[in-house]
Amino acid sequence: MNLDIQFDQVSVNYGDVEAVRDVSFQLDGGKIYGLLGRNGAGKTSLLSVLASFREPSSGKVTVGGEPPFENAKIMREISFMYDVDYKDESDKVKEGIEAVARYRPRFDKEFAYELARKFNLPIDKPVKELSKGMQSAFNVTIGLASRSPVTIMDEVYLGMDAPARETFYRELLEEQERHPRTFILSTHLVSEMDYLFEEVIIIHQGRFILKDDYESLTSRGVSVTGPAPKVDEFIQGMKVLNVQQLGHTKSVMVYGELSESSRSAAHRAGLELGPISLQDLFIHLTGEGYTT
Amino acid sequence: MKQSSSSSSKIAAEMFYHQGSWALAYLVIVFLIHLVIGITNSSARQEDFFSITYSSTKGFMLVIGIISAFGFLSYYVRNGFTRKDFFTGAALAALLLSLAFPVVVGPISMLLRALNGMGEDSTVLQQFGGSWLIALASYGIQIFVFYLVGWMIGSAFYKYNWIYGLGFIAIGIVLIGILDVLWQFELASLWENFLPPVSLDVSLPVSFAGSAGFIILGLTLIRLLTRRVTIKL
Amino acid sequence: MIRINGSVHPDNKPLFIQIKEKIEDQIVNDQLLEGEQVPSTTQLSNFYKINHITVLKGINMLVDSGLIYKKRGVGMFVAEGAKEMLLRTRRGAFADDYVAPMVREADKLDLSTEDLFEIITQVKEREAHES
Repeated sequence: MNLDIQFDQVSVNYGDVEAVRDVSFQLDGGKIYGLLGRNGAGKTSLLSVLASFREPSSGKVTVGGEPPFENAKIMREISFMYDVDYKDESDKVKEGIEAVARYRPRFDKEFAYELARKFNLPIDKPVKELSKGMQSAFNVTIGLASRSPVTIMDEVYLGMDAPARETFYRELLEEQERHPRTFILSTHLVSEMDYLFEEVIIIHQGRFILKDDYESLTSRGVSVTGPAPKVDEFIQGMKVLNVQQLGHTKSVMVYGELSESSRSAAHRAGLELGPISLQDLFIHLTGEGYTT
Repeated sequence: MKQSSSSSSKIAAEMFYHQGSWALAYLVIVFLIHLVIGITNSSARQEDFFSITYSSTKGFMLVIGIISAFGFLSYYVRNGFTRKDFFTGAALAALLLSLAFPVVVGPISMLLRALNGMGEDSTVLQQFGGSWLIALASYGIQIFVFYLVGWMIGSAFYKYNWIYGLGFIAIGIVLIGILDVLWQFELASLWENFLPPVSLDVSLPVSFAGSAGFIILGLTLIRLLTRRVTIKL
Repeated sequence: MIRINGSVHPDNKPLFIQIKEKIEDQIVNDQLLEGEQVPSTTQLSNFYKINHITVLKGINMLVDSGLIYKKRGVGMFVAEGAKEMLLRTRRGAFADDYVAPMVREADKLDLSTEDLFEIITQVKEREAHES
């Protein structure tokens, strides 16, 4: 079941505060998307509209062509995993897994217990007594085992240590190979997770910045390094993301496709062209002073 | 829709199981308190088990209703159920609970009364002219309304800020006050000390009909409050 | 070399080329034998922490050049004759990739062709001795 997702001029307001402003984009089913934005960029607000936790203040969301809000057929196919407050959850891990297995039509219990084992989740312990990292591992376990066609994971790794996050990423990729679905991973741990994303959406200050597939996005950013005057000459008319200078050597990050001829021109001028990471791109597209 | 009805019955069954186990624990505690007071305080005039339960269950149901608006709503929507399914499921669970209380408390009370050798009669039962059937029916109906009032107040606090919440508490107090008038045979009311005594000659059919009206009103208000409510993260 | 945890590695070759060369190296070194199954894109992605699409791009180049082939629903395998094909290509590129830069550097350092022969012989002996 592939459910395409469409955001159409979606805004979310909290009183006078506009958390999300006029955001439109489309997500085809069956891919892993990275939703990147700094703290307070509006990621969670946007995702909670998709998960039917709230209605948009204006605009429209559709999943598989239908609005998901109060739509039983769609809501049961969307899993929204986030940093749930479990302080009152006295159910044991095992009971939690068994319960969700009753709710989610595609839940794989065996896989859930296998994941729990891999994360060293104590299945007979009440969820509220788990450490933060273990609660996150519990969320990941539920999220992956639910096999919902739309699975949203909103900074779901909070408190997980590096080996646990590693397990999470590996299981996610393997799951996607076995049972492809739409994953939306919201994060600001870009450098650690970038290899997971097939496509990337960046939002900043509640606004949509870009959506592109990982390859073209990272190939579009280029760092140009060389003698300052030559670099300055070369980058004329290009969109500059960041400038660094060390003595007479200048390194500039530019955003935009570089033609073969300008690549060889750079080469002739003795300039060094290098790739820039998604992390760099993200930092500079959402850094101070950047506005749409 | 078939799926939707099975979703809400799933919720109803689970909530009834959960809340039913709390109810059982609560009844055991009430019973033990009754027992302890009975033993230590045998000379003093004491309320019978049914009378104590009759009034205190209302408080219990009020609290359960409030909790249902908070914890359970978020939980079920998080797990892919609609607000509508939750509404139907929770209302069914409350109904089941309101039936279960008289079904459990009735026989126990009758048994205790038989064991006591009719020495002291139930104060509440006397109000109903000694009819267990009517007494238990009024018990079930009233605790159901208390659950709804709790659920309504909880929903208002969940949806709005505390000022609106207080407004709904006021509505709740009025509803309960009128309910008391409808079932005015009853003396051990939670509110009798705060509200002016109203004495209307209400017949039994009016009590039932009025309560039915309240139940519909309460359910409507709850549905309006929660129909499109934002789920807290 | 391939980056292992996020940091961009110093070689400026695009990552998909690096993945392609990594697998080619393994075929040449007999780490991957002909007819043997190649790790899946997911496994490669997980191992090298390189984006799935990037890995796929590199793999597809190998498939296009006939070095590996896909069996639907089973996986990818090293083609018969893949090692020979790679050796041939690499021998062909040897002069351009390794000898030409060496000769250019030797010219800068005023080393004659005889000097070069001499150095090569010495290095070969040393390597043979060490291994």
